[in-house]
Amino acid sequence: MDQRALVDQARGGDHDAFTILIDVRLARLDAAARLILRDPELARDAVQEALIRAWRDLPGLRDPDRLDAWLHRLTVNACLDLVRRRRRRVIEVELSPIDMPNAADTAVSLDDRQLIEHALARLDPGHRAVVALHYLLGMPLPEVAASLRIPLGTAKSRLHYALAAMRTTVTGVAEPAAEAVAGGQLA
Amino acid sequence: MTSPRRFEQDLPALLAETYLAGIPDYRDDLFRQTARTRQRPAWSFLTRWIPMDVATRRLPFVPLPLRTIGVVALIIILALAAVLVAVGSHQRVPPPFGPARNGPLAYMQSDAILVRDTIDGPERVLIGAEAGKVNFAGFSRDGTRLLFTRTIGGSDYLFMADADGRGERRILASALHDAYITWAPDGRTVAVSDEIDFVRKVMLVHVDGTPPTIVDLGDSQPTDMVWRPPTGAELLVRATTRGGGQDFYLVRADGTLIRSYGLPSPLRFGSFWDNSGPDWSPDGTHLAYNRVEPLDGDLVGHFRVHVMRADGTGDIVLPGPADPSLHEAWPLWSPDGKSIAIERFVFDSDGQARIAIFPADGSAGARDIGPTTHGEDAGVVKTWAPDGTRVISYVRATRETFVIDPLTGTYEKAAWTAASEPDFRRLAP
Repeated sequence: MDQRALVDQARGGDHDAFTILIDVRLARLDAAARLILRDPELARDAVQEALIRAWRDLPGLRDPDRLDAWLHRLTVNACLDLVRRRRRRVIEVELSPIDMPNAADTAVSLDDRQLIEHALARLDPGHRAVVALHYLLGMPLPEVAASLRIPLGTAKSRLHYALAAMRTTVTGVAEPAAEAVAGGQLA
Repeated sequence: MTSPRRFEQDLPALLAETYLAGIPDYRDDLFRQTARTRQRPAWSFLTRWIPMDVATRRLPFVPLPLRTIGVVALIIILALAAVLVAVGSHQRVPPPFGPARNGPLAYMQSDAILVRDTIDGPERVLIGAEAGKVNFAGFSRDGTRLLFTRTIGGSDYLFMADADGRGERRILASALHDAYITWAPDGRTVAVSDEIDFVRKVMLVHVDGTPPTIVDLGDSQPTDMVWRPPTGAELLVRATTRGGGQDFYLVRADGTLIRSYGLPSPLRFGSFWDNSGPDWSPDGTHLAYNRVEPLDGDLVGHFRVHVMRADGTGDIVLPGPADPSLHEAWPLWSPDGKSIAIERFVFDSDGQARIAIFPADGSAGARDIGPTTHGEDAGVVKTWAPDGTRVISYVRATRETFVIDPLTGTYEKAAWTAASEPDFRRLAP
């Protein structure tokens, strides 16, 4: 069954259809939330809040083709809402599965994972949200800007800053500003 | 590690391999929660109905030269006669606020809009689906027009037509995405809250074809809105603030901001539900709305109905139910302004929902009326009949419509089913 039909069924209250739609997306939404929040429990809260809202508001989703963009936006906004609510509290970073050695993973070493983690840790959640939406979830930059309710120029500058900071952390070499954004998808 | 030159190119794969960790262990718990959660009725994304002002009409005046008076005297007489005939045959519109006469009842079925002159009357097609699936957004308050969306090429567009279904025309060139729609009291403007380039804004769409007016709320993102009676010169917009909470904003019909209300938004039940469901009293002096209140030992909170003055002062919570586990929400003022209909419900697998009626002055708790529905999708939506003598409840799960006497609570089930909440056309008494 195609996505449109599933969305139509879910909009009509078919929870099984909603489950099918979310099952293939849940891992990526959870990954984005963990990247932004750097706390698996907070990420769980954010994804759950986003998807409960998605289920409640699904009858109002008018274009089934926009389901992914809508879910991404709900998830990122739920993450940033959590950050705002907790901004006066220290966020405890728990030992997450990504810190554990994974014998099956030959593509990315533990050192690489830790470098990425350290690089992202130096960014604030707003910058990490741009990275998550653009590079992890594959959203075009204008859509990232719209999802975060920031001007396109701000999204570009955040992405530039994030990439420059990450590159410096990972390689110890600061690259020129122009290259950073040029690597992203602008359409 | 990836070389610096390839860092950006490799980053998507690096992030995916670092963060993608398979299906999270909370997957089953998540779906248990969503299964227990009631979906928001589709109608609530499309329409918020408000009392409507009478559209005034100006007849053209053409000065005549004296020398032609003799020649055109007969024409004038004939013209006057024609005007009298036209006025005499022109349908009177209902008074701007207060009770009106019940007109035909329209609802969705099979992607079309159907109508019945009475609850038990024969059904006929008002707007067909031949040119694309339609979604009913209700009659204008003067009963002369109706609003709907039509799906063309996979996108939804905003249309209006005369109340008899004739004269269909698109009134907004761009497609809708996730829109709230409501007629302005003068019937010449439609307020649309929707995404424009992925950012939610309020557009005031003018049915005469002039370019829409955009309401600027700064960093706040509008969701739904209601025009303020009795003149409709002001529009209450509910919006997500920069901090993620929900607040109300009062704006002029020209789109300029008057004030924000500064309502508390503790985000107990998720950011979308704080300060939701605003509905003006018919005289525009008071506003009823939902708040999510904390209860003892309840971190999530429960919906309760508040009423405040139009300027935001004098906020009171209406008396809660005897069973505090019940939620009370979605207030709807009666046409005479003396009562407020609400929905009472619980969220669980044996969920139940019913309609209840508050005295608008908050002097007593609400009393149940009509049937109680059960099940995970037990939600009901409601509307007042224009004459105020009946409340119509619609059960989305079963597609049943009930006609309820708000005084006695007795009810009858309509012999037909519908795909949307029915809406009455208001007629002059």
